[in-house]
Amino acid sequence: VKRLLGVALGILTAIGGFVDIGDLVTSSLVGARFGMSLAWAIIVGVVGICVFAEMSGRVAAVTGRATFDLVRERLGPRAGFANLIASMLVTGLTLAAEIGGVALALELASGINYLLIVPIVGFLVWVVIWRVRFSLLENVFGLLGLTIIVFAIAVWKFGPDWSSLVDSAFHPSVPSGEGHPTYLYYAIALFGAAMTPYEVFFFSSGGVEEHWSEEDILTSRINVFLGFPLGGLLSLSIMATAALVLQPRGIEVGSLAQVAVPVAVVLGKLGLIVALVAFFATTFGAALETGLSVGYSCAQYFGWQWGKFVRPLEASRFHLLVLVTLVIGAGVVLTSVDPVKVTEYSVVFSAVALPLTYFPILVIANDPDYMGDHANGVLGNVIATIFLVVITLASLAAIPLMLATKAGL
Amino acid sequence: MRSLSRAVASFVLATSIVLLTACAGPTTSSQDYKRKAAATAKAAASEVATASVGTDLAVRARATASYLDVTFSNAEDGLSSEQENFSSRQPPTPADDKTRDQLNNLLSAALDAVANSRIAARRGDVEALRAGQPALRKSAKDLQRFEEAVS
Repeated sequence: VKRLLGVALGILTAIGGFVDIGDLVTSSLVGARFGMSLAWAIIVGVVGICVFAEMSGRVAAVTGRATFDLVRERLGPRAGFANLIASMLVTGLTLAAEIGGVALALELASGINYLLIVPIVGFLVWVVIWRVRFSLLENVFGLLGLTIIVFAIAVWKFGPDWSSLVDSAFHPSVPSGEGHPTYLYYAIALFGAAMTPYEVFFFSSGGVEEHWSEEDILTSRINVFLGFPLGGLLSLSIMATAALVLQPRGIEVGSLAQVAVPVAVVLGKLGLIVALVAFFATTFGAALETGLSVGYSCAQYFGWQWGKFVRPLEASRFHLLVLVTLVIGAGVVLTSVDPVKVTEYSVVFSAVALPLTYFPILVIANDPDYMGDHANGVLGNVIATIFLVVITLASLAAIPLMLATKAGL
Repeated sequence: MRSLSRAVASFVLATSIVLLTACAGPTTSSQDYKRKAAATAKAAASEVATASVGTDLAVRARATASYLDVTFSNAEDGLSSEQENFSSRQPPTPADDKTRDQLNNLLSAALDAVANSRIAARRGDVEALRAGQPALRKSAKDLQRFEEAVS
């Protein structure tokens, strides 16, 4: 029973932890502008993250070591360093977006300007990372993040024409007035938001933090193959609410307040309050994950002691790096740059960096020296290779499309 | 060392791309000016529509005061920013002055309507909010018509 409860908890936290500021903003923005015609990009992204998160979880369970720990060893210091820098920049930018997201959520709840809240958010994130046990922070924010289900409830309560909604999702087309480059640009943004690199760093490092062994491979797979797709469904719900409520009114999403509009329209004050709790929980949880991920990747590359399974004194460089990253992340938001814009750029730059994150995972998961009998099978390799091609194409197209569309205008 | 310099180069490149996409480009022709006017009208109509939904939520007591305050402030800031950006553009020919004046008038009317709703919402004045709804709807419709006309 205890094991079953543990598995259920893992699934729930995977669902609640799936959505972050990137998913909130991008799904809503795209739903308001393109309806459900880009739902396929979320579905492709969710399948991709499942394929690679399963691999990184398996690597952690079999080797007892996290991704970056092995990248340098397997690919050499130079490739490992390029990988490290790219992932740190992208994850650092995502951290800034998450901190901005928490501050915006608190601004919506309190009416206090978000810039005044940013330093407090940075401090709180640091305190939680410093003081709170890994399993506790993972479970509390993962479970609290489940409140994002309020968007699915809003879709159901809205009572849409389901066949038309599903039809528009499965027969994608470029809406009139929108160009193909813009459509593809937002497809890549959704794909990048679903496959954000920090998710696999955190997942595999979390496995090491929780001392996974080969016996935990099944649990890890259940978490990934149930938790992530259900989390993806929540992203689709956010898109659907925007398509149903915002698009007919001609509202384009440029703020977090607009993301919550459909919930308030359909469910009223109580629904709105739950949505604000969800915004806070998902962005705060993701700020913890991104902050830790920067520390994980750097410490693992340089071979420092890392993680929350040891006392902070024993992993001082890891904790110092997390602190510095949080200060920089909060500093970026304090420049008064629009956090929603930071989010939009962070998901696209995530897409650019995807091959650097996912190629090494595929290489290591294939290496029998590390994986023994648990190396990838033929089917796994075929699927992963197809995804690697998709990821590479998205990565190559992201910057030209960003320039051609002036970041989606 | 080479890896580090590549990392710095990547960072500089990424920053340049962001700046390049974030900056407003020059207006080169009447057609380009009209396209930018249409985009401004569309963005402004979105802000007014948001304020209109906010007003409806406030009248029916379906949202918290803090949320409404931020929603109205965001809509007002968004409109101001759109008006400022558009006003800073040079109309390429004297014939474009008419487009400029038309849109500026619409944006000013929209700003007034949204500001009135924001003031009423902060005061909790439901009657004033209700009275402001037609102005918001008219403003959103006018901006949409303008967008369609110049597109």
